[in-house]
Amino acid sequence: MNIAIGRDDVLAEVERVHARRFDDEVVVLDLNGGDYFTLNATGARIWEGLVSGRTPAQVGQDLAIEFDVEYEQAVSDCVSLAVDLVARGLMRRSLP
Amino acid sequence: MSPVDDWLVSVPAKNETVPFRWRRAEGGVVAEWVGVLRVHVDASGRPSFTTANGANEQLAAKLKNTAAMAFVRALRGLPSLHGSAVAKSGNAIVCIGDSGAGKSTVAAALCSIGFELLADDVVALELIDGCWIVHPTEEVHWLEDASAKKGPRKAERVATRPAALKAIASLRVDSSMTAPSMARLHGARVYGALSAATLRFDATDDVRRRELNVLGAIGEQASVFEVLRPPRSRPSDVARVLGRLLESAP
Repeated sequence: MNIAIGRDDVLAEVERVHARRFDDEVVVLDLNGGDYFTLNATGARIWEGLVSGRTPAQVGQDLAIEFDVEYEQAVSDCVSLAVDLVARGLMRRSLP
Repeated sequence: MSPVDDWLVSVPAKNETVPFRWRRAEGGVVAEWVGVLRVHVDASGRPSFTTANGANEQLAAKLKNTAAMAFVRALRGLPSLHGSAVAKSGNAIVCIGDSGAGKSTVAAALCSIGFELLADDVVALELIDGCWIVHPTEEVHWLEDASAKKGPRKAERVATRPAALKAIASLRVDSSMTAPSMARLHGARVYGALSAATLRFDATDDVRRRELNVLGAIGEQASVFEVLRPPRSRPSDVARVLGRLLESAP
């Protein structure tokens, strides 16, 4: 499935998904499929940024400053994870 | 009598377990460990137990104190873990793990070095004043005899009051080990260990959401460790390792 998510898109959790932080990681429970997913420390930061309504570009900017990494690379990583999360049915593009 | 398909949840016997089922009926909820024990929980949450005709009395008593009470507690939104628990100086260590990992045996070994038994099979947890505590629920260990058949044995020391949850040990037999060892778990591995030990009687969205939150809160209070032991390790050696958990817990 080809999913297009832009760096300025706003995403949201889908209805039957529930997430909680465990230390610096996040466990995401998919109540539709019954599976759970884990996000490492960086993935957890991206998840929490996206569900708070920030765009991949904004979250990438946060990560670039905090971890002293290249901005374009950080944004690209955020977009990649956002695409993966949407593909797995854990997030959706928020309607304008 | 209602037809069988009225049961909301029905779990067939597996290994040595008793078939279990529950449904809403008689102005409340009815659960049965078929052929052994029946519990009716009324609308106010009060349970009444009935032992089945011809049932093994020891097994019925064990189920009443463990699985049946866990069911009643679940209806009240209280979590229970499949495992054993011991306490010392008001602090509790919980042992979880697969069948055969040594939960009961290690709890018995801990009770021989100064710990008190809180639970042998089902750990009853409750959040009180912001602190997860373990209630005392059992006074006997269920240990294998010479013929590998499990039966009750009175604990050397029995806890009479709740203890604060400090540490959880996820026990695992590892044939590559030469001595017991432990390592603290972090992040999603804490969820994995606690989730595997959680007793569930229902799987609605609300129950699963609440469970994730509860396990996260438990993991924030208690230090969770993976404890690996060789297949033929002495319970006393594992107990000595676990005894140190209270020293390293915050």
